[in-house]
Amino acid sequence: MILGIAWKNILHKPLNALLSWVLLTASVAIISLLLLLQDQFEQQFESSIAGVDLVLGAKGSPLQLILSSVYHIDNPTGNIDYAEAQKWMKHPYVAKAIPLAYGDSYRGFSILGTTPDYLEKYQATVAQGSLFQQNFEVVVGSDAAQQLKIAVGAQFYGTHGVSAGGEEHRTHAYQVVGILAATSTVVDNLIVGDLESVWKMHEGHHHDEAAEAEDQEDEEHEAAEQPGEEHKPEITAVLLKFRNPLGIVQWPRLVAQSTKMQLASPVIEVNRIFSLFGIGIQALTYLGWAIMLLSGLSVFIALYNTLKERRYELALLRTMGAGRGQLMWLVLLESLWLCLAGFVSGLLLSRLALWLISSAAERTYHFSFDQLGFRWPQEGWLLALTLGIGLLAALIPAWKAYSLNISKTLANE
Amino acid sequence: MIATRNIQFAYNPATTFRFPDLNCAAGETLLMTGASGTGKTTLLHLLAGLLPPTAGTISVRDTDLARFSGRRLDRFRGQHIGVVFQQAHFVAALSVLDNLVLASWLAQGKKDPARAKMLLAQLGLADQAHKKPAQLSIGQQQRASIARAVVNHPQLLLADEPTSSLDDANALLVANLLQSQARQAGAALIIVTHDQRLKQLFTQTLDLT
Repeated sequence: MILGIAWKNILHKPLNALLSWVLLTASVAIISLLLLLQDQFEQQFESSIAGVDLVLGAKGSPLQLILSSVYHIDNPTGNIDYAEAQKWMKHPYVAKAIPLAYGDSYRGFSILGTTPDYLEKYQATVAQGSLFQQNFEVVVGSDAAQQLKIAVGAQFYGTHGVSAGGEEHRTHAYQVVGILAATSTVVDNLIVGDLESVWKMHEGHHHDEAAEAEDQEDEEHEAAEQPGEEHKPEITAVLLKFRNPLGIVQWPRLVAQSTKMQLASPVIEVNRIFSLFGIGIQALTYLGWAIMLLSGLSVFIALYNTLKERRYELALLRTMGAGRGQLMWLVLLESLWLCLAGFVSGLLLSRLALWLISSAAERTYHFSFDQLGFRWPQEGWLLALTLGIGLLAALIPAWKAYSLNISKTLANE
Repeated sequence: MIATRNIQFAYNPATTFRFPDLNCAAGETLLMTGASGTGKTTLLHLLAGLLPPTAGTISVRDTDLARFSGRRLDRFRGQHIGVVFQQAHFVAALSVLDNLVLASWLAQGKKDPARAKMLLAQLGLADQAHKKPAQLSIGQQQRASIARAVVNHPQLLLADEPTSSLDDANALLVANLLQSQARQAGAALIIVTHDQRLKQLFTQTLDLT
């Protein structure tokens, strides 16, 4: 009954509670959105680097190498000679080496030439059809298949370069032989075939590359297919997993000194990204808490003001048999209701925002945040904290209700 | 039903009110009159257990109010004493009916919507039951507050200037309703007033000086 009255009191004068509710909603939404983003961001990044100790690729920015070869959200640093890379790949220190060759895309989705090991690493299984066995056969990641509306048996021409709108390779068509099951990793947004497909696609084509020397659409190809040179198979990067940890320590310097290639560590680069994002996230989190404090103040002022108006009402409740404790409860519950309402609406708002961000990120980066469930225990703490603020804000008004002098209140109408 | 002996009350040491003893049996009505400043409202609050007297005893249904304190006094008041104030105040957020139901819940721990509806019908307020109190006219509000005061079958019904803000017709109506409801509930009715119109209606009066 008291619970119901507290709720009806809020609804009776909604304007009094509006500011508090809006502030609470905003602060909970900000904090919870950051929790969600940070969590899933790290999860997505870390799940992709699992099992990759180092990445071998062309010299350049190590961060760019990692972003392009592991996350597929940047252009490659360039190409490397396959024969030279193989010297390192076959070294006894290495447990597993997965070569990656980029070059083409289809309507914005990268076509990746690699070995079946790559799919194994992401535990990607074929949901329909079969794995690629011959040149120009490809399997399509689940998200890519959905967005491209492509099915097993379809044929398409790849586009030169990573971005959409490049020149089409009309000589060979890719044949879709399988659709992969969803893995929640980068594989979902890739089209995967064997290495030779990518090489052969460019063989018949590189003679006119000279004429296009000015066409700087993607420099990696210029580096890859120097006109006039004998055509050697090239790849973009190699994902390495070591058997002997000594390699992780010694090789980066060795490779940098003795070859035209570099070795980059995904863990180091990813941590660098996190620390960059971390500052921004930290600042926003503080902002969220500041708004939370403000909303506490606003709850306090709202309760304090309505209490002045409702003194007589409270005295009346006492003459009707209500105890001091019940009046105190009434005020506390009003505050808690308000905070709970703010928490719920804030949570919903954060999900809505995440959904919007996710659909934008998916379009541009093929990167999605799709876990909209309750984050336990962080959001449990957030709830406790919100209610704690409500309790704190209501403490003085509740005490005033508890110690109300009924006779005096009733006499001075 | 209610009896007082030698009660005194002091807001501060300089002003001490001494009240004459009073007795009012079930079904009887006592009109308490006096100029302002004679402690009418103070006495009413003493009788309702809203203020503790500095000296003397107040017994309601042969129970000394001084025996109770805190929560138990609140409960006793809710169960046995009904109060009607000069201006009808309600829990503004609740409907008229819910205000009455709340009174039964606070006093007895259980809701009694049937009795609340019956009382509202008796007082001609059946159509207003689901309105907010502020939507009622002053006369209707005062009738609703009488209904609320008697919803728990009190033994003592106290009214503080119940008619002072009403016109003649409504004042008469409210006075009669108070008396009839008190009789129905078997309650002693004490009305504190300076309203001359009421003096013609009630014979038993006590003048505070």
